[in-house]
Amino acid sequence: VREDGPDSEAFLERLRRGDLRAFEELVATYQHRVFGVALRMLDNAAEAEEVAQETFVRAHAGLAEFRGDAKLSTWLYTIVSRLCLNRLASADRAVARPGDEMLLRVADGAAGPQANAERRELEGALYRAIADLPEERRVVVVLRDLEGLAYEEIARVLELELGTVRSRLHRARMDLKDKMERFFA
Amino acid sequence: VTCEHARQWLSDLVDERLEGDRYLEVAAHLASCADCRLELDRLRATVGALQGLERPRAPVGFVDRVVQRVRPVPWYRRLHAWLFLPLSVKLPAEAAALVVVAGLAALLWERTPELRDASGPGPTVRSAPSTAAVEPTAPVPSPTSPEPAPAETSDRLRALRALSEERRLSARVPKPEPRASHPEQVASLSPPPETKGAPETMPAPETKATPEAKAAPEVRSERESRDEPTPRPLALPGSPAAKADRSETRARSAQQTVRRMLVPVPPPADLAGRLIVGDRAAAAAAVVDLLARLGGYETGRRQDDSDIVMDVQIPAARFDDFVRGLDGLGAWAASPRPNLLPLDPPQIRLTIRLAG
Repeated sequence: VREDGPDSEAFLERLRRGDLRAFEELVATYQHRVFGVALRMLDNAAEAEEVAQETFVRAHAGLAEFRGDAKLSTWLYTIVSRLCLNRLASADRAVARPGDEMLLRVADGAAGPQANAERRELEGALYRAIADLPEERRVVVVLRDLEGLAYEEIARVLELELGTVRSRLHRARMDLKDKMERFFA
Repeated sequence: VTCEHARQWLSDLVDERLEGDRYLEVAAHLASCADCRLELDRLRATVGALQGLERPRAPVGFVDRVVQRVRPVPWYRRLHAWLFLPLSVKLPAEAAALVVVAGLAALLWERTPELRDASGPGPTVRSAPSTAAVEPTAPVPSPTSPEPAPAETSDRLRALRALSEERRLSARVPKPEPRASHPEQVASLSPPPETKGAPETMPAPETKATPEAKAAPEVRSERESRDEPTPRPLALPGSPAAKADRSETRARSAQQTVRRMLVPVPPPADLAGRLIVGDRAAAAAAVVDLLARLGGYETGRRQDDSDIVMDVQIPAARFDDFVRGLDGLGAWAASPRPNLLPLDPPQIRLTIRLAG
């Protein structure tokens, strides 16, 4: 299964039959996407892995009924987005302080120390700005600018009108632009 | 087109989603507005930075952990888990079930007399019913009775001793019962602890043969009727009251049994009373006449100091006439109407103390 390619019907059939090897391929293919969405939404690696695992477990439970109307990736984004939003809305999650989990991943060994420091600062500021966005805007900008989904796909994943997706994305980007102004002046 | 209007479409412009007239309007405004062009440049830089962020990678072993969660568990592992693993759940559940079963068993024990009878003697049997069952056989002191307490106690003790002797004699009838054949078990039928301190010199004028000869048929009938579920005033063999008495008075009863074998006592009376008369001997003769008229008879007589103690038996149907006759002879005071002997016709035994 290619990440950017159409889902193969043969592969879907193996999944529907409960082929564990096929499911393992599915997880291996989409693990980073699903985990990335969870990490950027929750800003906590442990919670992100927990939600990502739950995403695939639920997908496995629903594979027999998966009709293939949407791409597998869209289906997985739908599950992980809902799980993240539900967790963020829960009372337990309200007291959790977002950490700096994503800042650990910004170092680039190929760049020089100065460039690394500047890049680390920029990306750190971006992650913090993303984490400060309201959840309904954050998920849209994560799916669009970090995961590269089209507007229509985002609307399908989040079950929103296309105009709502557009307006939320616009506001989210403008918020981020204002917070990142000192880097791009 | 104002700056505010143009900036609403900058995000779409960055994504190249503006087309047609709207694209032309926004493009025309940007060509003439440096501030909006600067705003667009900053927005593009921000979006470029976002899209250039490195995608996080799932932790090492993530795939294995997910696959492990969805892998079907073999039946033998499920069975093992069901049998042994959830001890934290199973142990409290089993303990609770044990408590519930024990509670139900105790409840069933309390509410099912048959179970208690079948289980044999036990220390948990209450002794209160025993006292209640035996008391009706002894004279109940009337609040208006002129007799002092010691004399009443003496009569009561004598009646209880007679009951014990009856039990002992019944063990000698031709139809033996294993429970009654053992001396200690016979002793267990002895009266409750009220007999403690009874004088060893209790008068027993009747011989051993006389009460045995007269009382044996009645005793046999009474013993046969004990298997019936009808309530009786006596503590019956095998009943909870008798078992309770047995457990409480076992030590004393052995000594009392030996004493009773040496000193025979008259058969027990169902009713004891006191007849205050002027001439005891004349009254005794009148009682004999009264008995003869009513179909009753005298079963024994003894002298107790200056009093005459008569043991009589009267058909139950004539009991009220007999009491009226006694009232005519003197002042009669007795316990309430007794239970009937299970004979045909039903009989009532009385012990009448003729006192002056």
